[in-house]
Amino acid sequence: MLRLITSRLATGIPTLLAVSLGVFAIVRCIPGDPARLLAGDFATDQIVEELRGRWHLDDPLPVQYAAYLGGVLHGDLGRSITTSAPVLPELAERFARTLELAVAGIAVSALIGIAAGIASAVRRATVVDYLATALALTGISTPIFWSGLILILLFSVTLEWLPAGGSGTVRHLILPALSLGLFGAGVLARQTRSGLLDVLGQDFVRTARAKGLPERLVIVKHALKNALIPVVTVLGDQFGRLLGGAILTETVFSWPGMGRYLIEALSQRDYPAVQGAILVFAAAVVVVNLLVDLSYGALDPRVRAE
Amino acid sequence: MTKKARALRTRMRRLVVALAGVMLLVVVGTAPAAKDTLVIGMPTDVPIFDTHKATGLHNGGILNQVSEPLVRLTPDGKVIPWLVESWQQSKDGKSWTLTTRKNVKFTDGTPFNAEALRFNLERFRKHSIGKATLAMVTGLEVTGEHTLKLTTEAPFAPLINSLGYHWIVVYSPTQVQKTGDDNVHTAPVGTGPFKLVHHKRGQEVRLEANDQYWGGKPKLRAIVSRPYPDQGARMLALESGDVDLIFHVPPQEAERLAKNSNLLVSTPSSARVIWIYLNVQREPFKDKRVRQALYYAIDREAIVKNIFAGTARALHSPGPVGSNGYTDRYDVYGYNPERAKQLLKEAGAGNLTFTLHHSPGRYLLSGQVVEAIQGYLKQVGVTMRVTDLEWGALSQLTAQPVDKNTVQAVLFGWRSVNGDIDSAIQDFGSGFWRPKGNNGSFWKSEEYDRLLTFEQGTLEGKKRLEALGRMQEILMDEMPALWLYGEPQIWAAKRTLKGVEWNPLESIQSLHTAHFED
Repeated sequence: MLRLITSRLATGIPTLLAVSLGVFAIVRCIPGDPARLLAGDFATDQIVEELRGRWHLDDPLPVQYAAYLGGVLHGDLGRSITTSAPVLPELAERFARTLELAVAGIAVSALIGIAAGIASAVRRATVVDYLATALALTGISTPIFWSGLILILLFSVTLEWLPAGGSGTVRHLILPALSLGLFGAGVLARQTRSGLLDVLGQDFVRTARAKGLPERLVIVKHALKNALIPVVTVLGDQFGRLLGGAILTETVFSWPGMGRYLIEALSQRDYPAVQGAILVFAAAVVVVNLLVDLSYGALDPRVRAE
Repeated sequence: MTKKARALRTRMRRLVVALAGVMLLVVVGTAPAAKDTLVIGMPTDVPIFDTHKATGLHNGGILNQVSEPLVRLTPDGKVIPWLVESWQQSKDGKSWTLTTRKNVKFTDGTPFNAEALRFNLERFRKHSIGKATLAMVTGLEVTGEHTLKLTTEAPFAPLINSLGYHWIVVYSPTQVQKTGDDNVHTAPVGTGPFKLVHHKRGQEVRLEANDQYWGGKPKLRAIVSRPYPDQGARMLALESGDVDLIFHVPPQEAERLAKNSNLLVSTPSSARVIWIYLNVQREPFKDKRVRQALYYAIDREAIVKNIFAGTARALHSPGPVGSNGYTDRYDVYGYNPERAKQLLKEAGAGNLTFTLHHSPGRYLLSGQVVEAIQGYLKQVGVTMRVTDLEWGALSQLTAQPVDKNTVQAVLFGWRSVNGDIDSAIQDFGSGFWRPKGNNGSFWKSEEYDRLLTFEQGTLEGKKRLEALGRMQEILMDEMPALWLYGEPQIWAAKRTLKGVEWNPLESIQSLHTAHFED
């Protein structure tokens, strides 16, 4: 186990280095000059040149990369070109918000998605199955910018129960988490259903039933545990993506997470902010992938043995 | 069931109902918003709480509650003395004596005087991306406790208007030294009616009243500004009562919000004008008859009425309607497709095709405007292809010098920063060709250049207005750009909110008299 963790973390370092170099190169390939964007519509060439100098955008690219990497190794992600503020403290704050929303969203997804998937598989080809399938498809195909606004309209404007946007309290978290969770629940419900149906047809389930185990125990202890591996993979994948920020949800609910930060930074060609955000995102994905791998072992002893 | 069991069950039921009620109150209960706190919903966050280093003008109104400007501009182009109480221009026109308001203190107790003003003007000239506004200033000299002599390279008539640019504000020099020049935003200290409590990035800015304010104790106790990037969510936040005032209401929604008896929609004039630069150094726009034909072919009034629900203003001159010096006297065009066809025929420009560069989302509803123009031009036999580019890429492309600039036409937004038409039309001077300035038409007129130098230098108000009039006449005849409309700035607020005034630079004025009425 310890060896697995060490080796995965060790491979994570070159991954992060490659990401840092890739992002550094890619953001500079996007057309658009941060100095000109920052200087605004009315700036003269002289001001643009000055800004370029101030942010060392004139330096050769290897020099810029070396300076950036040196900063990263010292825990300094630089200062945002747009706001002049240090990138790291803001990213830390944004990441905490994103984590909060991602955990809440995933919890809603898992709770609704897995329950609907089980119901759908166990009651296959009944009204419950059709209803769960219809709900799952609605969840998957409803765009968040629409479902989010409908939730606000219902719970904030009409019922006046919850705030329309912002962050800071649990009440602020409910609507965005619900909006995000409903979307993910659809995918999970489908995955759980198909996984469970596969497993339910296998010999060990028949054996369990033949032993006279109650159906609930057969489903939960034997079938579900085996069907969960692909579900956990999907969950991990969803969680990883959410850590990068759920851009639409954050925009609709004015949630100050990583997604909005990254989009705003990209539109301003704010190189240090984009690089910092993607590096943090990549590190989070490395960690989540490791956790997913570890959870396989917990779910299936065969994986542990390998 | 026994009597005892029934009673127990009833008690349990009551307990469950009571618990549910308590939980409901905890979860959804909202304390009534205190009516001495104003909550504002803006499209974006304040980038940085240091006006000299800020980049977003739309948040200027929030920043200005802490650090105030020197003079204030009104939507009808007037200048109101503020921290600078009076001014006088020297006889040769090259220097100005500014007198600062007396008995004004920064919130840290530092007195505001001529030295503090000099310090801040220098800081603005050093850091601000808008420092070109004061590019003509060559010297700043403190001549008394409350007098500052400002010298310019040549006489510059709209100088006082330029001082109203709301990024030119004052911070306590003592505090700037204390925080260090790079960290003013962490604890900015100004003279304004409010003080910064905190700026939580991406979440909110909270200000509290400055009871020692020189203009009197503010009626509001606090101001909170929150970013709502999604316009639908921003409107819903107002309708749900989460916020009291929002900016950038889409024109189509303004009418709906106006029907809500609890809300009030305001559409004060904005200094932002939208036009299409035509590159006169390249075909097909070398011939001015072609440029004029396009103007005849576009129905500006219909665009304003149908796309902006009447909230924008059609332009009849190259500057914001109502700015100082603006005149619609020389707009002889009107919507006349027949005349457009005739001019195109005279110019030998049959089956004309050209490409317009446009950045979707950069300007309000510009996508629909571009489609409408495409339709109008089609009617007179002109095919306008549209290349959509993200703003960063477009600004890089259009910044190329004349010999490398292949852009035929580009939709562009321009804002008069000082309420004077000079700042909107000076870029048509040949000294402002891209990339030095913003003249993307690469148009040149010697008479225009002469008039520009004259109007910026003259001390005679009447002659200056005449010169500005003639400049507009030349532009309207030469049509190096198609002047379309002035963008609306649309605000919506709770009807009980009083005392809010607007700034033409898309922001709010001092909120020291703002309050809620019962």
